[in-house]
Amino acid sequence: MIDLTILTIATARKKLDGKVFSAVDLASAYLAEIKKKNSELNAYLEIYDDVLDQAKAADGRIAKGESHPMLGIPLAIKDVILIKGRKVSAGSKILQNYTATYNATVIEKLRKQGAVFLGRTNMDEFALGSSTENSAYGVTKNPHDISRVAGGTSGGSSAAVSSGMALAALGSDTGGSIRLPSAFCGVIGLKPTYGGVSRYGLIAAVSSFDVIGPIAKTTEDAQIIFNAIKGNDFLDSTSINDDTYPKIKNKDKLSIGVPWDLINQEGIEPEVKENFEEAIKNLENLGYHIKDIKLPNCIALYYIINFAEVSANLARFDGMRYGVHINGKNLLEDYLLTKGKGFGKESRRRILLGTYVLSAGYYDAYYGKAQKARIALKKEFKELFSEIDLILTPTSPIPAWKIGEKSDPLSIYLVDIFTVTANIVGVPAISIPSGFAEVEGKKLPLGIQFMASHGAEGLLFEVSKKFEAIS
Amino acid sequence: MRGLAQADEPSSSLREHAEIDCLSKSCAKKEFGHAREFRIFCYTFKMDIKDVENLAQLARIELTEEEKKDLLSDMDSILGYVKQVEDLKVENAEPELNVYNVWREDSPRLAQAGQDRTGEFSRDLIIKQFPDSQDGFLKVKKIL
Repeated sequence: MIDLTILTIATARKKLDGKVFSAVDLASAYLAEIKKKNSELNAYLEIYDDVLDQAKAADGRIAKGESHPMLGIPLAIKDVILIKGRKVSAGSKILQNYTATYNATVIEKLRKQGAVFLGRTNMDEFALGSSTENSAYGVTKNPHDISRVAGGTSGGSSAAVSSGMALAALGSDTGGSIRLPSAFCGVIGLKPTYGGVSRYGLIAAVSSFDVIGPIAKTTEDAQIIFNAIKGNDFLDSTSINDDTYPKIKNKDKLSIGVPWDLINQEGIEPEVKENFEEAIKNLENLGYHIKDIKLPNCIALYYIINFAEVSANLARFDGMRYGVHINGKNLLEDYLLTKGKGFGKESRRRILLGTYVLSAGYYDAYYGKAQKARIALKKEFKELFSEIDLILTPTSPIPAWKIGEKSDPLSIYLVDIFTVTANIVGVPAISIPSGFAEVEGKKLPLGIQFMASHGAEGLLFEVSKKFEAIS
Repeated sequence: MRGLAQADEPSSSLREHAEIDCLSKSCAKKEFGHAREFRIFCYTFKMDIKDVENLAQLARIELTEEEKKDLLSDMDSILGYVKQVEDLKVENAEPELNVYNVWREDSPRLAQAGQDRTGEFSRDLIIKQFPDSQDGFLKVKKIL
């Protein structure tokens, strides 16, 4: 029996290469775990029927003496990343019958290394939400307390890793969709620099924010996956090069900025703040210099751009070329019925809000203003990162909430207060487990988030590993 | 067809709101004494069900009466919140011009060439997913 609870990609690599266990043994252990747990947690929407064949192929390559960081490593893939010939629904009814016609670049890269794809994981429809409650295929439950949400939008991926149903996973992050569920489920989630990982083959939510990233149990594992999937891609025109951003010079003492005015405002749970203060003490003991900085609340700015781009990106789903098609009397009625029935409530809400903020009379007041504010914020960050190396916040102002507890959409948007900023500016950010809050007799995971300047994932891994070692 | 043509025109009530909005801005710019009143009016106006219907028509989404009511109240509170973007300071907000076009040949084969992914697309898989097809072409209802 393989002990999956303590297994990491790094240790699995050694055991696979050393023939302690085979890729088939490893995949079988995960399939057994999935069989035991998935019906309760609803983390996976589908388990692929060729998992053991993929593992056998990996074993064949290992037998020939091949070794790649991801060879034979079982992964869960968010239901928004295309795998050729596999169903991909983006958590939506409108794509319930869609089969991908090509591979995403990240899939192509992992496949070349011989990674084993276990299945596709649940998510908020079209990556719109913060709790995976907006999935057309039911909510994903938090492995730490099944009456609570797993967070979102990559809730299925985070829950799968947290519950031992995958060694690691891929998620996508538009405004916190990798980091928030990772914090809620007690795992590590990295949102890379915008353009650092190819978006080719990722179903778009907000094209100027979206990025694919890893969800894993340790920083080292997140780094291994990031190294496997990063890099410039000819097929994604927003993809960056190694030299797009200046290299960060090594320093003896790093300084961390903490936006206290944002953290001290109303709506942050006392347990979260206590835990955060504890984390700061630990970082000071590790030798980091902590500095008070100012950051604006960017929720309004973020959501205006989100609505606008979502309404444009979701316009393509019209039932004409693929996906669900509902027949009406004429072409217009085909559109109205297909979109009306195919899109869930949150998607329809954001499409209408986006249509509104982009309409002629409101464009300047909303979208135009938001774009200007975005440029101003980018400049502010550039100045900030000339004085400090990292920015630290809690990942979420509250721990995981009860399923169905938050019915007002605005109250859910506000949970993204600490995560959206990295997407607006395009900088990398990581969420790391920082302990637990005890709520109603259950221990709910909490997370802290570090942001670094563009291209400085290395700094995030460094601080994350040091923090990991003392927690 | 009538429906399509109508849908592309903003509704009269949307236009009205837009005019009020523009008026408030020009007043604010010229620093007329009434500017403040206009601004307050703009901050507090509410959408009505007709606005939701018009937006849904523009976005080609059919809604039930109950959904319209739900959306109206959600949109009022969400738009009320995101309006605070108006208060953000945006001096010095000229975009850095590092945006450039990335061109390639409009061919799936060439597009893949640089990545050694020639012929990756499956024509069969694409056609198989058409809701309706004829002789390998996508079939849709009459447009004109």
